[in-house]
Amino acid sequence: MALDDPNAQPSEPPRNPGRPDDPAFRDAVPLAGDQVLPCGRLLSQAWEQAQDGMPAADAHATSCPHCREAVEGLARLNVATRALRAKDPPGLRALADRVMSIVRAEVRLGRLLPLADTVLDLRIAESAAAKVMRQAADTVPGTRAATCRLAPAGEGTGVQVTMTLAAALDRPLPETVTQVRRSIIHAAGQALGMAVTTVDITVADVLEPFAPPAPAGSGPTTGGGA
Amino acid sequence: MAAIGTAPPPSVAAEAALAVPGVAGLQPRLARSLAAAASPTRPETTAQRIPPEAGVRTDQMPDGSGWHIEVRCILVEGHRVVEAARNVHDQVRAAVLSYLAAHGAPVAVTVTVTVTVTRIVVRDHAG
Repeated sequence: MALDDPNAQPSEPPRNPGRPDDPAFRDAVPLAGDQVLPCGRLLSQAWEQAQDGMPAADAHATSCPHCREAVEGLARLNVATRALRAKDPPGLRALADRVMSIVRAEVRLGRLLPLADTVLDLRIAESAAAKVMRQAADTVPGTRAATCRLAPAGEGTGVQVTMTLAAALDRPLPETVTQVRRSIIHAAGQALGMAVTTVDITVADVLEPFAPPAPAGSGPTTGGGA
Repeated sequence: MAAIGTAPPPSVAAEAALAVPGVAGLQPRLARSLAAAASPTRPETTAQRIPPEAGVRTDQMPDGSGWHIEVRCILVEGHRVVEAARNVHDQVRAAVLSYLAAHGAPVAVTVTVTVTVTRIVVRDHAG
């Protein structure tokens, strides 16, 4: 096929140049990189004519084996291209999903907070520090951390923590909150190396006492503490 | 503004950071992650797609006196974050200064270390 001919020389002049009586040839404007068929017509011209469905008015288009072969080859390529597009639809959606996933992950990092070093520029992402704070709060019996936000406290390396949590009512809440606050400050200092200046805690929900399932055949049980 | 030569390659800082105990990897910067996601040829694994130096950013200092390096680290548990970050800072700065000295461009270098992800176990302190 002419299209697949590795020796094809697109820049070669037509073998039958100058056919002013051929209106299709006369009006043709070569595209960049266009190929001249052995019959002297441009490949783009033959293809467009076939696509437009006007070859009936052009005897050359209907009889020329070179034009026909080129058009048939392009038609097969066209079918294959459409089949591939149908198989893997746009790909733009997948790209958009990948981009949004990356952007969300970046946003989830949160703000950057200073670590407790007054000389070097050392920082930690809010999400990473908050995870440690929540784990610290959860070590206190009868509490479950919900939200945890951190923000720089002033110009230095201090950080303020704001947390909401659920707590059981099996002991006074102020006692529970104090214990959580202590645990957070300890974790911030020991695990992170962060200077927490304030810890604001809001008990936003009540944690129901955990009642383990009673073994079969046993009598009634009392609810245990969390 | 004095000429400070060519920027140190990010791989120098990346290798130094990865050699620090507790550093599990470097977190690629947003621009590099997006570029990799949009690449028409996507290798199978993330490691192939985004090299460690994607977690390093090198900028000329505003006054033109040297280079500022920013490293984004992922840490594993068992290492105090501030100490690991301090080690990364010192190792990266030393490696970059050494590289610049070897290439005839001894200039100032500052380093910012950002820890983006930690996998730390908090010991039970309550009670």
